[in-house]
Amino acid sequence: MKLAVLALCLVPSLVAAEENEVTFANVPTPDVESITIEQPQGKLVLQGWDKQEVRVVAHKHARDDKALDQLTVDFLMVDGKIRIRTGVRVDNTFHPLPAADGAGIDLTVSAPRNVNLRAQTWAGDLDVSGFRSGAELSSRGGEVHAWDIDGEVRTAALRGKQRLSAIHGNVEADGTTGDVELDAIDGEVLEARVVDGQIVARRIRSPLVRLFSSSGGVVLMGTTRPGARYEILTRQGDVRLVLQRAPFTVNARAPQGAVKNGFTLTHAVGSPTTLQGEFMGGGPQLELTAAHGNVILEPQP
Amino acid sequence: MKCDVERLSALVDGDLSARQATRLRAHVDGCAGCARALADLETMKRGLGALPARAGEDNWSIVVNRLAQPAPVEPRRLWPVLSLRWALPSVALMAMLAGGGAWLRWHKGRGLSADKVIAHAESEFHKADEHYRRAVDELRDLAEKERRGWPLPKRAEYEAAQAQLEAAVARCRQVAEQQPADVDAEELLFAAYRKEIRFYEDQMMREAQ
Repeated sequence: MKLAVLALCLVPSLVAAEENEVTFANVPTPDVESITIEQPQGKLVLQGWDKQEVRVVAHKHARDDKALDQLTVDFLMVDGKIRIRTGVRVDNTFHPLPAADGAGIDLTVSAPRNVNLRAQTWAGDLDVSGFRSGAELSSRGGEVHAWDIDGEVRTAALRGKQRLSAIHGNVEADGTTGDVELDAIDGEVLEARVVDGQIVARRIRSPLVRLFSSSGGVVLMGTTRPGARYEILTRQGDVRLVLQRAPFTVNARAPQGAVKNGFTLTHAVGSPTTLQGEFMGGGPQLELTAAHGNVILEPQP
Repeated sequence: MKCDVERLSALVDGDLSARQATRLRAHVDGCAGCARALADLETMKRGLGALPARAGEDNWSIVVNRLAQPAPVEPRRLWPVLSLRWALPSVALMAMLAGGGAWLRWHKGRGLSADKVIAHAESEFHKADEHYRRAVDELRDLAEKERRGWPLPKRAEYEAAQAQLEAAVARCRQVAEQQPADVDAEELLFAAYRKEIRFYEDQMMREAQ
């Protein structure tokens, strides 16, 4: 009887067994200008480094050897432009598509810091750091995480969180479903929009900040920058600002909710649903709207 | 064959092989002396077997004497695991492992077919498409509520832009659906969705200002 139970346990464990393979490739790239990576197979980690070469590490996993052999990383370099794609090879035809049956490739790419970068994943997370010429990043179903990047960063995520930090350049983040976290951004323009999700922004130094959530709150924490303009809007959710005691001018509206203010303003006018005024003589302009929620202004403790 | 009393004794004691015994019995059948001697030996053996136990040897002594004898060697069982107790579980284990292995070979050793890969990609595409469409519908509904109070020229301008965008999305979707698992066609459609989303978001941001 015990042996029969043991057998019952063994068979599922055999079913769950998986084949794995890790492959490496180092390609000297003295004159590389741009890298485009299309990764439908799994996670993608991108790291900028100081070497003039591209290193690709592919961690393949599949349920059997044959499927493992079919998982392919396609590397193409023409005139300083590199294109890396993952996919499945069937009968000598390369399909840049996700593998079925739980098979896939997790990819780690190290590349020269100064390349123009464009990367996309399907269901896998996308982690990018250490680049100096910006990045254009998107994911259909994974999270997008970018940090320590100089230059313009544009991101889009259909179903997944976005976390952008230590970005020295303009930022444009588009989200459909998923929260957006922004920290230590200091480009000229920061614009983040999400249809269904919350936006949280900290330590923002950009002079023009636009944050919009259709169905979710927006939180801005930190200090305002002299001469800056902040346009913050939610359709269904609260706008909440937790600010250090520094000058600002505010124009807030919450037609279906209330404006709650914790600062002592001068020239203050308004009603329970509107507020205009200046703090410490006025300064950076705060345009705050919560169409169906509240606007909350409070000093940072 | 010569007459031999010792061999007759061995015959009575059962110490001869079957062949030797047969040959000796054939001799005894034709030899009156040996026949008598054999009859005497058999009578003696039957008599000795009927004698009582030795005097002074009680049951305890018998037990001790038996224990002092070397243990009888039983025939060795070469396959103890095949006793009934283990047989059924063992057979069950072998059958399940063999069956599992065969199933794994059948199910997992065939690699990935183009049909399966494309079907999986199409399924992923439809999930993403559905997600974008829900988001667009949600924003369109919100925008519809806001534009009810607009003046006619503004509404006409808005509706013209909206119609263009929707037509572009419809064309892109048509192309994507005609070319299964065509990543470029899918990305074109998703870019069109994102433009449509931005259109509604811009509209709402302008209204808020």
